[in-house]
Amino acid sequence: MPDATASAWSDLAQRLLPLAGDPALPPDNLEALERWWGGPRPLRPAAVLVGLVPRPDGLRVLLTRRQEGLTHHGGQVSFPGGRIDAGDADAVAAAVRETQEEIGVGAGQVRPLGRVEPLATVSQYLVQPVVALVDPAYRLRLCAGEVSCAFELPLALAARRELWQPYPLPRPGLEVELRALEFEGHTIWGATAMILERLLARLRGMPL
Amino acid sequence: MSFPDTVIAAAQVVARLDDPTLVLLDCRYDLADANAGWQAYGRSHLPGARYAHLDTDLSDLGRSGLGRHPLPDPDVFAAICGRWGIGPETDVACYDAAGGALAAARAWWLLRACGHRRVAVLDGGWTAWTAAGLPVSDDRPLRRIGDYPRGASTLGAACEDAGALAAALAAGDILLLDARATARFRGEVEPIDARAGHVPGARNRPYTENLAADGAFLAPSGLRRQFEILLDGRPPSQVVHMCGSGVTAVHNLLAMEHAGLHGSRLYAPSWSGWITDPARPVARGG
Repeated sequence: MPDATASAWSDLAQRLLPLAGDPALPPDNLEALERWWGGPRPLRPAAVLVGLVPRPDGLRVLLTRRQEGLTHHGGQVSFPGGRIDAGDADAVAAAVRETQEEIGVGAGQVRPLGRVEPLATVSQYLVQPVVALVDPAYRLRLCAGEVSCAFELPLALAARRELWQPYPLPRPGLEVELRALEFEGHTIWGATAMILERLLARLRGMPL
Repeated sequence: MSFPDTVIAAAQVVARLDDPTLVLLDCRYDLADANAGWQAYGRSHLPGARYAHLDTDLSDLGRSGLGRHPLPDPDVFAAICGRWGIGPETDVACYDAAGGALAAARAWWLLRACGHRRVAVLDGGWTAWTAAGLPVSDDRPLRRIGDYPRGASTLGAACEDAGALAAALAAGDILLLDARATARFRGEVEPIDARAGHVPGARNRPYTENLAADGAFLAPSGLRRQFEILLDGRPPSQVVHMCGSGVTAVHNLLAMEHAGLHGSRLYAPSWSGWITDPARPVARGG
């Protein structure tokens, strides 16, 4: 891990929610989902790793493309992550474990920095996004059954709001404004886009 | 291959539906519900069409004092063009469900202001397309390319200054044409803006007069006769167009170009921008 820029990482971490303890606030998109569902539904706890990779031209965020044919979100771009298991100490541990399982980047190459606000998904997950620094020397070992590829998206590009296409939901009646970003053949939208939006809102004004 | 630079017939678009060098822009917008056009796009649109949102793509609502639909920043709009997959060599057909007035002509004008000439408004728009039983789709295409080159853009130099407009009117240097419906122009009704009436000296030319009963454009010769009466010997370059917020006004500008009367301009802030300063004069009637 590079230590020369330790203070920059500390500045970044201070803009995030603390690592310890799940944020007390309910997901701010829960109300719209419950209106659409016609009432509350049980949510399964999940965690994702928002991995930031420092590159010479700026920060990049590590994304995966899920294997086609998976029951949940098959073929979609997402962060590494999944359900929080009984054996996971907390959301941070689950995000790190899932990252190891899905793309082979282990705890030694991942330094959790903080969190952004949780969100609920249409597929009834309550997702805790964990933001972490990822060693740029990482090597991928993809779990072929779950992930078809992994790639890095420059954060400075994601921060340009005009590049995001307003994206009408395929679910009539669900009042959520979605935007989608096309990047080298990948379409970033849905929960992944909403998590990026939360991160970028917290990093506003910082050099990316 | 030549491409029309004002109005394009549905038959010409149908023939190129699978052609990636033709980008279709769905610009449908409902003044009463800002997201209705977007949601309609989500249900169905011309195959492969991208959505152009009047509020977030064709305007920058963050600029104050310039009316309800201020022009977008040139750099931001160049990036939006890239998001739609539009580059200098791309052909573009814009359509809406209002004969081109909301807001296909606005997209057409903005692209021209970027220096892009290979852009036209689909004659009859969504209404004629679906009435003819032509194909529609609910696909959600995304293919982003780099920002549109800024070399030939005149967007940053567009006419937005009320003071300059008033001075040119007073000097008799321009003919100001207001595209709003006559009752609004006369100040008899005002469904949207805080004050009713029009800019003193403006002439009323409702954009609806550019269209036949079926929503298609009148023939260029007919449009030319109508505008020549209004021009009364003035060169087209002296004409400045306005409306409520610089959107339907472009329909008149497009109609003039379609009629071979080139070089008229847009006062984008329009009525909603003019009245932001209560000191500016307002006329009623006539």
